[in-house]
Amino acid sequence: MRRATIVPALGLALTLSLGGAWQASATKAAPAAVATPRQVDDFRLTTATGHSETLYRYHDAPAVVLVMHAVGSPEVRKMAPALETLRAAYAAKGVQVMLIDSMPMDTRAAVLAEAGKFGLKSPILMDDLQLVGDQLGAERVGQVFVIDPKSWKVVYRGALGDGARTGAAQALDALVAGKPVTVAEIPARRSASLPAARRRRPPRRRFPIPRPSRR
Amino acid sequence: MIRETLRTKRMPPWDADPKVGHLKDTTSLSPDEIKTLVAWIEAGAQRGEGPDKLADAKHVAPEWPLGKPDLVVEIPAYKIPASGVVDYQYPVMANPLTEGRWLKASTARVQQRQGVHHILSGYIPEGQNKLGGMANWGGSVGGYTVGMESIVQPTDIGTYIPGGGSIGYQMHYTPFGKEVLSTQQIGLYFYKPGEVPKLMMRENTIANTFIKIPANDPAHEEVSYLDFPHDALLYSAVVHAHYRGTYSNLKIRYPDGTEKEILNVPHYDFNWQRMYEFAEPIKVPAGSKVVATYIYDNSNRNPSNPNPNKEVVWGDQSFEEMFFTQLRYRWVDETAAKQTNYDEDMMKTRLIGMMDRNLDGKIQKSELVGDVGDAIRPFFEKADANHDGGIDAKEFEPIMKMMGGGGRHRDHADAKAPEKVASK
Repeated sequence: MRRATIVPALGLALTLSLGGAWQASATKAAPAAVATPRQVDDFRLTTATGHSETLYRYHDAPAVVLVMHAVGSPEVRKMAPALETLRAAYAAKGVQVMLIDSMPMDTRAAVLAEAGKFGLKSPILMDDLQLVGDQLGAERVGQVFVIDPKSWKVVYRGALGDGARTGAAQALDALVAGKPVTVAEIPARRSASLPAARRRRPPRRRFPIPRPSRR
Repeated sequence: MIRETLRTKRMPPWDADPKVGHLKDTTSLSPDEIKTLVAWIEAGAQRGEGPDKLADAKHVAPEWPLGKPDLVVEIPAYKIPASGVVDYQYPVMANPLTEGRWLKASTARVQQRQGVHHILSGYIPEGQNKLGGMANWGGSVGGYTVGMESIVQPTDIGTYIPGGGSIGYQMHYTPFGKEVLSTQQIGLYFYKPGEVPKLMMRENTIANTFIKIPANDPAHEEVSYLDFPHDALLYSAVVHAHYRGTYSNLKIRYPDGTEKEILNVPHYDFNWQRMYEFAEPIKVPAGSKVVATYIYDNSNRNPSNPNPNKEVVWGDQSFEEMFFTQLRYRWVDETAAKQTNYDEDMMKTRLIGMMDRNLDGKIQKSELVGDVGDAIRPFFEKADANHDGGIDAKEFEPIMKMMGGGGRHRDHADAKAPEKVASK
């Protein structure tokens, strides 16, 4: 498998969890709100097609959905039909769905090939520096973030659900209706973990600043 | 602020996609530099040990970045009003050169940068109508767009500026809330008297004057190309649109149908209209098309959009739009001593390039647009002599003749450069 050969070579911690399927997790008690709603700062990323997407451009949308992507991820491939269902169902309501690929080894060509093969029609943003995934607090490939553009806070994170009634769709229904999001966190499991932004130690001799601390 | 500008890719001001092509003099930061800077800011931007090297740096921008010019041309000053719309100004001045010189480089100095959208220039030969706008212009004598730096020709390549005659300028001023007197100079750098570069640089533009951007359309795409009739080497490209332009791409479509992207600007920024120079000149084989694509955001999500509820077409003013990729290139078998008329050959198919959306080298009836399209439509079947459903370059020639040659191009007024220039 592609991952099995490339990832160890890069020394990245790309492991598959042994937990149950997200559906099993979804049956557990879900928190009524994200414990520490994270405000997402604006960002601009280039998509796999070479275009540009800026988060705060969608200031007038009822919601923005960001989904962590990786080439060859079984989880993303499995969730692709539900994700497309979600995108198609909520596009008319003004919801913007985008995927974010924070995998350093994923090329645009590979991402486009993967998207074509599995029917992903949403733009896929190349987070080459992992800065966006890092600020989102993304931990797993396939993890979904629903953002409320009124506050730019994450109001739902975790598993996608079925794309129509459960998981992220429940949060979107609430946002579209202007109501509070009640189910805000369902763990996403059985997916690869994401690499943290690898930060280089500043060259002390040329730039007298302290080493940045990892968050 | 620094973190925010990095995350939104507004700084450093370098809009070209690093994954496409290879460009000279990139001002972008490396991935490691960006990560380091962001990490430092997120860690509280704490001061390190040792002296503050930035405080010690006493950088003073030189008056002229390329050094003292051989000739400084003072373009007549203009009082930009505080508000309203200023039509293009076309000042003309006597050419200060009494003998022809080969231009090596130029730098524009603009004091009121907020109010000057662009400067174009052209040599006007003796005896030509000086007040006809750009109609009688020959080669460029320097120029400027927002964010542009000096224009430097590669080694042994130049543009010939004859002596005598006049120099015409197209000045686009944009009021910005305060009346100011705009002064501007262009510094010119020549090859030494008697020195003749071996090769000629040419300039031409992939334009599309037929653009029509629907109201409230967040991503309207337009395409246009130039057909290169002979082998050429491409040196640089300037991308130009107005406030609604958000994306631009440049690719070569080879005669066999394969394509290669050579420049991609994922997010076009009106404030930084650079000349992108290719790290190595790019071969454009005869029969290739150099294809430009623009995307315009005419929605209220574009913070620069003056009016999302208005359909927008080509126009001079910034609240109208443009599709304008300026190329610098040279014909492979052209030398300063043996000049060609290949540009004229290229211009014959320019209108086809503006309409041919499927890039098949012909205009189908469904591709007819604008006034020209309206004029051709009733006679389409007659023009399509071989009845293949499209008007190709050969079938387009009589149409061009009826239209009077197909429009202006810069080189028809060029005075022939001498092989050698007399020493002063």
